[in-house]
Amino acid sequence: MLIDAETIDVYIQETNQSLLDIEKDLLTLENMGDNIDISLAKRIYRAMHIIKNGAALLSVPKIKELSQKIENVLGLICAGKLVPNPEVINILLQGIDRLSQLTNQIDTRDDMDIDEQSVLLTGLTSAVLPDEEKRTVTEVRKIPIPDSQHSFHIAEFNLIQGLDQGNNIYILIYDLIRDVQKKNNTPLNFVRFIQQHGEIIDSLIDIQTVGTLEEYRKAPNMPYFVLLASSLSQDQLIKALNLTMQQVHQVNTTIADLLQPKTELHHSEKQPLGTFSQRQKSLPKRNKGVFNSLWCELYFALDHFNSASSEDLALFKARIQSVLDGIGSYLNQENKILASKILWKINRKTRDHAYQSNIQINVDFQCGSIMMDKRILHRLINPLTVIIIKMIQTEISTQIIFKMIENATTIDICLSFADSTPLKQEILLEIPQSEEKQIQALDGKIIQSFDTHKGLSIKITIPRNPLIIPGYCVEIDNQYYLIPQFNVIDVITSIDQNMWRAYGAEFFYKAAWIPVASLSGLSSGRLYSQDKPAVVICNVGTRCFGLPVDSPEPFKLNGVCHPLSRHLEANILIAGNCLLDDGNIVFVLDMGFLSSQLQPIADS
Amino acid sequence: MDRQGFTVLSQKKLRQVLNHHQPVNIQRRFLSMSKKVISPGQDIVASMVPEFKKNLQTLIAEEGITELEIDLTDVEMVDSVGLGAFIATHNTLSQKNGKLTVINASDDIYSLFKTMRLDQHFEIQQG
Repeated sequence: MLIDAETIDVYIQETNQSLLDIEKDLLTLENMGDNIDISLAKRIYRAMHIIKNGAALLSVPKIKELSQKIENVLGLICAGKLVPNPEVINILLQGIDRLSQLTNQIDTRDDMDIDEQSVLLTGLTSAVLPDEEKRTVTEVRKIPIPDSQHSFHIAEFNLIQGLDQGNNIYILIYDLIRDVQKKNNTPLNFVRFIQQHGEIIDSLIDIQTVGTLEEYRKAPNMPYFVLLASSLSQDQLIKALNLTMQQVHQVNTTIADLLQPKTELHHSEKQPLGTFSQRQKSLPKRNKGVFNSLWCELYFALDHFNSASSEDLALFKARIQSVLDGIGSYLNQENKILASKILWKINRKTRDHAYQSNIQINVDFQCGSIMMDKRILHRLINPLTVIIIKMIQTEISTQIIFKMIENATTIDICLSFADSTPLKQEILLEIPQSEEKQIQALDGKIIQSFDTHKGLSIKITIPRNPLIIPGYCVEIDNQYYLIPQFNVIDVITSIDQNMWRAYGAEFFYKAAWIPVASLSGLSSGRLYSQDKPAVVICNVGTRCFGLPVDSPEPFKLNGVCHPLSRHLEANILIAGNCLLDDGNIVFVLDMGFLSSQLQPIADS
Repeated sequence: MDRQGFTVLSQKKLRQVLNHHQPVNIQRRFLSMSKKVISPGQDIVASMVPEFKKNLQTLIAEEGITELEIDLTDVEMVDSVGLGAFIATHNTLSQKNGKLTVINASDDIYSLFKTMRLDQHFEIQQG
């Protein structure tokens, strides 16, 4: 097919725009951590799919190949098999950068290779697969269609995905006239009917048999072949789809090796779609090992504590303290990362803005080797990007210096213009409230200063080691509470009480001024929150209890703890408070106190 | 090969360029002469296919159309015989190095064509 220059120009424009959108969406996805928005992931996947198809249509093999590889990785993210962590996103962004270069140099595309990106992307795709399945990403299987000259050509990877969804793979042989038209069915309903019994991996119509307009008869033959993954047995499928034996062929010989029992995927890569308890089980073994040895140390120290003489007490106290310090520093180190490794994304986001505004933005990052908590760094990206864009909009300069300074208790991020000329008139930025709240939520402050000689500068001060409490944010009577993560066993949104009771949990009906549901109310069908019940199964020491809450899907939160106001200090149920990014206050529940005060319903 | 999506916009923009800029260019005149958009305006089902097919044959054989766009605005259903008409049109145009494009397909029809992998043979654009 001949493609004219204008179509290619339009392709370049559209692809560039799509790639910018994908970049942005990927960064959003990354910031979501484990709880990714599947609809966003699918949107990115579709956008990449469109780029790939355009490349195929224009016969641009390198763009098609690279976009196919990116699409494979995105498919794994959509399926919940790969967590879009910074490493994954970086590799995807590298691929997108090269796609962008290839697209803009479409006429000289042969000069640019994609080997590096391909290796990284294929590695990523195969990394989540067990060793024996790694090659499946690139291997294509030919599956001949019985009594036909046609075959399906499917990547082994797709076949394995199909086998994951159903246990068997079948070739179904239809004639769209005989099996659909003459049975007064429509093709759409027919396809939907098949999809009710399995996953269509591929399908094809034998278009040659249909012929041309001249050859086309009133009721031609229209062979239609479907490659279906289904959990049904062959007999069940024949019955369910109302087919004959000749129309259903189980694919065995050509994929015999794929039908071997598969080893489980690594849990750490399957995190996002698992239940909470699955996620707990999936803690890396490395962490468990470290904590086990620290716990043994602590146990050993405590064991000797009882028989220790008063002289030894100081020694044991020191020993216990050193173990606790070890745990604290280990937890701290786990989340520490070089600030530059995360903050580079600001550069990318401002670059997106520059593209859209058709201006040049240059941010000179001077982060040194400062280490910060990655949970804090991720939450800094958005507000800092907005502030930088606001600075650019003053039109003083497009060259920004981003400098991080490490103090004893704080980290200062100083933003200033690189080539600021003395200004007569005072200029201060109007920082949007939402971004200001995001900084405040991190217990940070924004200070603007203006000097007629030095110009405008902005200092964002963040505590160096803020107290971060990972937990589940729940809503009870229009107030948010944070239940520390280590107290949460599971979050159940089902109204099936047997499921709750499986944990052996007691349910509490009242606690100081936190109103919780009565079990009798729940059992009679009158739910605490009318239509959206949720019970957080909590564990404190050996005690297990369920706390009914309003939010149907409590969300995970890394809350930065702020000191309580003097009015709240007296409330012993609250251990602290956090600010959400939108300015809402979350109280941190003192679960130990709560469990000691609550009376189980059975006792009342 | 999947041809949906990107080319949806490309073709629309291409048409905008051709329609609004009205450049004097031999290639474009030739394009416009060999290109035709037809709008059945009703469901493509067995009862209308013989007449539809006859019109298509006339366009391709007598008017020399090689780039045909079938506009599916107001088309809510395509039955198996209708699908056959699309395939036969594609086969006929392919013999003449031509191209079939289906435009403004409803969500259902678009999804059907995609599931049946017809997008690997001709271009389908969603409405």
